[in-house]
Amino acid sequence: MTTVAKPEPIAVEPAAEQLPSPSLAGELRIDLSALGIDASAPDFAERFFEMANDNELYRLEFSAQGELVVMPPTGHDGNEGEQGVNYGLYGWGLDNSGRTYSQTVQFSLPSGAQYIPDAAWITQERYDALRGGDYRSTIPGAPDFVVEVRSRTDRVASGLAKMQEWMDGGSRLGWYIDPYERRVHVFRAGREIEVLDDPETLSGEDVLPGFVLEVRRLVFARYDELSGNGNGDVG
Amino acid sequence: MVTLARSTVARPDARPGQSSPERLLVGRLRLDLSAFGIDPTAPDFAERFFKMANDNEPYTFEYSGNGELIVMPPAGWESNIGENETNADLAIWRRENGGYACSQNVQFQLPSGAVYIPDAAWITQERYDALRTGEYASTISGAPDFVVEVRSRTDRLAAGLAKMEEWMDGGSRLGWYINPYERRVHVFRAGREIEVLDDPETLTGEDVLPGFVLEVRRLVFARYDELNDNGD
Repeated sequence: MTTVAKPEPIAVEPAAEQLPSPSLAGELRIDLSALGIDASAPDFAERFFEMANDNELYRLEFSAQGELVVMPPTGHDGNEGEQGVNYGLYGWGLDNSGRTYSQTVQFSLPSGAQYIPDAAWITQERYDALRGGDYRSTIPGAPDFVVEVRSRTDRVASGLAKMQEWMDGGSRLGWYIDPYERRVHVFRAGREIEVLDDPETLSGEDVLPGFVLEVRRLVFARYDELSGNGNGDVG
Repeated sequence: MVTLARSTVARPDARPGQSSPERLLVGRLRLDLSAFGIDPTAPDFAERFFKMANDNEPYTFEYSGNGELIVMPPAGWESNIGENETNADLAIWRRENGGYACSQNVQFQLPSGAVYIPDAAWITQERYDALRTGEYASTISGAPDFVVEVRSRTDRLAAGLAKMEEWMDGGSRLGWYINPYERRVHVFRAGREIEVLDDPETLTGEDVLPGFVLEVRRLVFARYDELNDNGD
């Protein structure tokens, strides 16, 4: 047996660090309910916000079922649709009341779920209450208007389930935009889901009067450029 | 324009966006959960953690002393070679010498609250008797007397060595960090400097596992050579 003692034992060779970070190819859901985390505790949303900031590499959400949802940083194609939607919504918001949000703000649903929409809007009244109230990093309640854009790794079923949670949490109008299928699911409070195949525009209806998003030009066409035909080879 | 009833919407996607667990997650995902205020030193934490881990198959979970949740995908076949060979010889030694040996699926909880799963481990007969006759608990309290970690392709060396230090701080008396990709072993002994062995032929259990000898070059390193042609 050759036991050779080395003077500098824990020299970490940079060359051996082959992988800089774990690679996460899609949404990872971890059921933490057995740990006894109480999502209905008054400080849960704030704790979750802090936790999410402690783990900047990932986007983190918390489902009503007690699952921690870990998402990788968005790929360049996943951001195309969000950018188009937020561009349109921001422009509308400049001339109208309320407040628009792009994909960074945590909303706390009554179920305890902590979600980050791809685009959202709340009424002026709610915004004033936020401004005038105690500072909180998260917005209580679902946005009045909410948009989710499907990204390459999203399953349609879980995307639609999340939309349903938004609506159950109090959203009045919601769009699930699937650029890979050129399809939009429109959610309206208390009504059936409507499926639009390759719509040219989407309307803000009575929730955002006058808002029209040119979804075909601003979103679908951009994905055509990426994939050659826009026909959604998602898998 | 088609209108669907709600109940028809949540059908399983015909073209799922997610790949298999091994492809979804490559390597260890570390999430700092300390802001949740979880107390890993609470008496029921290890049992809760065990249940949580079982609620989330096929992933393997650990919890570091710093409050990080560590999520690992199922091990690839390649990374199991070193563990399997080590465990085989450890099991044979244990038959003659007593104690309790385990391969890579048993939770140990360190005094820091950390919950870790070693690649191979052994505890004394005395500790095993206390486990057998005591109240059932899924998790073994305290670090194993002897612990082995085998580096896998996606493991960072620094993190592997830091985990070994946590094992030793938690009470392990002898530890091997086997790095088949570099043909190198870091030997940890309680209260002593780490010894680095370059391409050793054998490792011995020393005074912790008297008579235990692992032919690491033949049983582990050579097997990785087969995979890579040259062991590099």
